[in-house]
Amino acid sequence: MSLEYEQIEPTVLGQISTTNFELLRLVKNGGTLDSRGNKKVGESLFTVRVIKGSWATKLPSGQTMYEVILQVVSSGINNATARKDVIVHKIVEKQTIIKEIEKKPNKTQQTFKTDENVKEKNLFNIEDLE
Amino acid sequence: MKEINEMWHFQNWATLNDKLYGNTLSAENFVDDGRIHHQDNFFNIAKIETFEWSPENGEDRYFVKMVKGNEFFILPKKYLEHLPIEIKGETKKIKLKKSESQVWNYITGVDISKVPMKQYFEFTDTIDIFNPVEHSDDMTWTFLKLMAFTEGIKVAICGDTGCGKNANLTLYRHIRGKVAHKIKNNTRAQLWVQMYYNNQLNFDEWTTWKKEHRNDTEDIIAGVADEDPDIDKFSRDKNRNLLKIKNINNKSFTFTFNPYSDNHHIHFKDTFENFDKIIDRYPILYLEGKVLSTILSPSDERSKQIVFENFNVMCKIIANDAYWKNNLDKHLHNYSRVKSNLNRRHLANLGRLLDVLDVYCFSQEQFDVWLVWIDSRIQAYKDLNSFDYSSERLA
Repeated sequence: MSLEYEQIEPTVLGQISTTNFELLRLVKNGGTLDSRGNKKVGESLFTVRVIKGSWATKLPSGQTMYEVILQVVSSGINNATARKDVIVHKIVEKQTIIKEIEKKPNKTQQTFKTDENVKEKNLFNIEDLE
Repeated sequence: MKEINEMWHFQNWATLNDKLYGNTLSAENFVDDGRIHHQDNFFNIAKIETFEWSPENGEDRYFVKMVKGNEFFILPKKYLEHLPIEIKGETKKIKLKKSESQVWNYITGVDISKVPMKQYFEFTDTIDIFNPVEHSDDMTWTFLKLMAFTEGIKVAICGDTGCGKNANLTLYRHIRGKVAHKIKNNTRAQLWVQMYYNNQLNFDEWTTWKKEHRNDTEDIIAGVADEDPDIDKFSRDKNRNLLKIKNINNKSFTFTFNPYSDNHHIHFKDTFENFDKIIDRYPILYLEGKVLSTILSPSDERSKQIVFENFNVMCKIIANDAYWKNNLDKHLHNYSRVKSNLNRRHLANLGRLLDVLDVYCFSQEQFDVWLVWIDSRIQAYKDLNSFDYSSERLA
């Protein structure tokens, strides 16, 4: 499966709620996104823009955006795609980048951060040996 | 002295190791040889339901699987360079697949377990009190202890059964960790993992390795001894982009094997596709003599008691070893090495051992005796096997 996109201006196209399938369609029909902008279905809100090149990290609304790399696989879209808080997807064919609105994790899907602060700890105390 | 001897049985050091490292995870805890896995989404086991979650940083989605006792762990790859580690904070109970029943502990923070350093003994005493068994050849036994102490050498040792070729490395495995004292029949990928996590690697009984394993690993073994720090060219396993081995010149690669005999019909030189390459890089020494005394193997209970009674002195030996391992260069006498007949590559590959000998010796005269002795041991192996090459050709 080869996806073709039309060049789209690197501007925010609007908040678009989407299911996996719809997101695939958005990508496939990137050129028609303008006409589908601000569509809202269900609870999943995404601000999507299809770009070629660089993009801004802030939306005009002032919201912070995360980078999301969408994976399109030959058997369909990865199940994890296009849900809340899912950030990185693999790349198979063409790389498409969307940005997700910052939001708090809910109980069904969370992200977490590991501790970057690694300290050395002695196996035993020299002082105790005297 | 009797107590000291009893304390030196490797079982007691293994018991102490368990005690000191009881709360840590090391390369010994890998589930599948330390293979790197990747997964975007995991399944967090909560009180009411299991929900999907994902590490925020992409690098935390690369991990290794580990096991200790009956607990299974997921360790993010970024912590691998710190092994052995102690788990910090709570782990997350997860499943790798929603449908599986295996529970894993995802590690979210670690502390590095570090051996404290302190000099308690002079270096000569450090070596002399180490593993003080009786040996019929004092020079051989001291040399084997010095060799086991040293990191960064490439050498092959031929010795009769009972010579004690591996005894000291076995102790260092429990004292230092990061010592693979008995590598046998490794594939290239397995050897690569051993090289990543250990500083001292000993190919035990090489002449009894299966031919396919010898052939698979020969070019790596030759390559690490050619003074070229870039060995990425040998990294052909699937972890190649994830495990870059640093400072290969500071790692020891040693062979130990028995000589050809009526009961052992394999010549060391016949085990290589290109022996010239090996002999050019690895000096081969024939060591004579046998270990004469035996330390009785303690029971588990007796071993715990010995460790309890000698805990302080054993910890002092460990701290003292860490001191000398890291500060040897400060104590060099810089004795002249002109008496050595080692060729250029052999001199480089035994260089760290000569540094250790330099610090061990009290005088240039004593050091010279050792240089001549090393040459004599190399000649002894040539005589033993009547090599058809001339030392001039390799010089």
